[in-house]
Amino acid sequence: MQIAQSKTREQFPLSYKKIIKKTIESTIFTTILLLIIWGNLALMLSSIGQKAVGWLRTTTFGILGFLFIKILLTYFYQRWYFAVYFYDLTDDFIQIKKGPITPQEITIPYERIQDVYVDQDILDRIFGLYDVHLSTATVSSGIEAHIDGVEKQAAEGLRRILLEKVKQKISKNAIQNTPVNNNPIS
Amino acid sequence: MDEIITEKNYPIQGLWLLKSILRSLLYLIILMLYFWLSRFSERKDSEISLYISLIFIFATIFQSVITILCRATFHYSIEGQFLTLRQGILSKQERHIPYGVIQNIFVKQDLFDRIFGLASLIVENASQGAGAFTTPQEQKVFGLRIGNQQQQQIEIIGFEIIGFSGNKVIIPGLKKQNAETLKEIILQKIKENPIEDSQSGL
Repeated sequence: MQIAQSKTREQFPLSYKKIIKKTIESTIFTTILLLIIWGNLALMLSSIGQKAVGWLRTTTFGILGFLFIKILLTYFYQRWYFAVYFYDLTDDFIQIKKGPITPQEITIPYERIQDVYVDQDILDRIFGLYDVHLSTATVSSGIEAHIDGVEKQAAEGLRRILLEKVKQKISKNAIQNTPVNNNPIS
Repeated sequence: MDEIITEKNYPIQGLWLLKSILRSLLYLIILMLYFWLSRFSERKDSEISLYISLIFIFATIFQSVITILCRATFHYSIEGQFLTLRQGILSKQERHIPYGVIQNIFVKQDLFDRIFGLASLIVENASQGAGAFTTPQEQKVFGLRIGNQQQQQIEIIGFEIIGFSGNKVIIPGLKKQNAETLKEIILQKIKENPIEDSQSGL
């Protein structure tokens, strides 16, 4: 698998567990639903008696086969998604690009970052993964701009380096633009 | 880099016009298919189906004309201090965005774009409704907030317009290479024109 490498991704890599997590996340609902349907069907058919054995076999193969194919396809899609996931912290901007089929790329200047936050959902807790979010004042950045599926060390590293860069940028701007000793509060 | 870059340098491709037409055609085909299939049923409503199809065809033509006009009347220019935009078929709008307040830049491709090697460039600032078509950004009904957050989400994922509205400027149908170049140019401008008061809360 050819991975879209960047300096940042080399330093703070995505965890391979992310592929498994995402696969589970996006198939768990269908799996449970299909298993419930299958269970009910099996109960119904078995109450009919001997004649329904053939039917039972067909439905079992059908449902389990479908499930297997769905999980397999999802797994390969997630692998692909994982491979093309690109994020890079350059000197002036953060660049995040994802989506194997319909790629979306967002570029954010450090000065515009409103907050950096790290979170975990239940599956993340199980796999020990973290999502690092960063957003600007726009709604779409909140949706698009996140690096998800990194391990603890990488998450902390990313957060640290992001905050550092933001601080640097802001103070640099402040020094450039505000005259010294002009502000009575400071 | 003082030369002014406009849509003449990096044009919106004519191919992009196909996109909305193709989408309408797809719906039309589905509609036709449905009516064709319904001929086999007992109910005879061929006359109604004919009218609906006609209305649909006219709507498609109308939409195509609007899209063509939108493309023809949309202008952008990357000037020294501002990103200047003009649009409007009947009512004209002009907008100037200082580079310093640009929040983020998107480059995205949907399936159609992928096939034809196009890309959309989206520039966002943090303005609340200047130049927006729809005025109410957030309405309060009986103390409940009805924001347009969801609407914006839909915009990001799905239907795409040309021009500016709300806090977004959408320049669709650029060649992939051109979109990347434009992005680089605007990023360079952002770097060159920092604003004094940082909006970041950190």
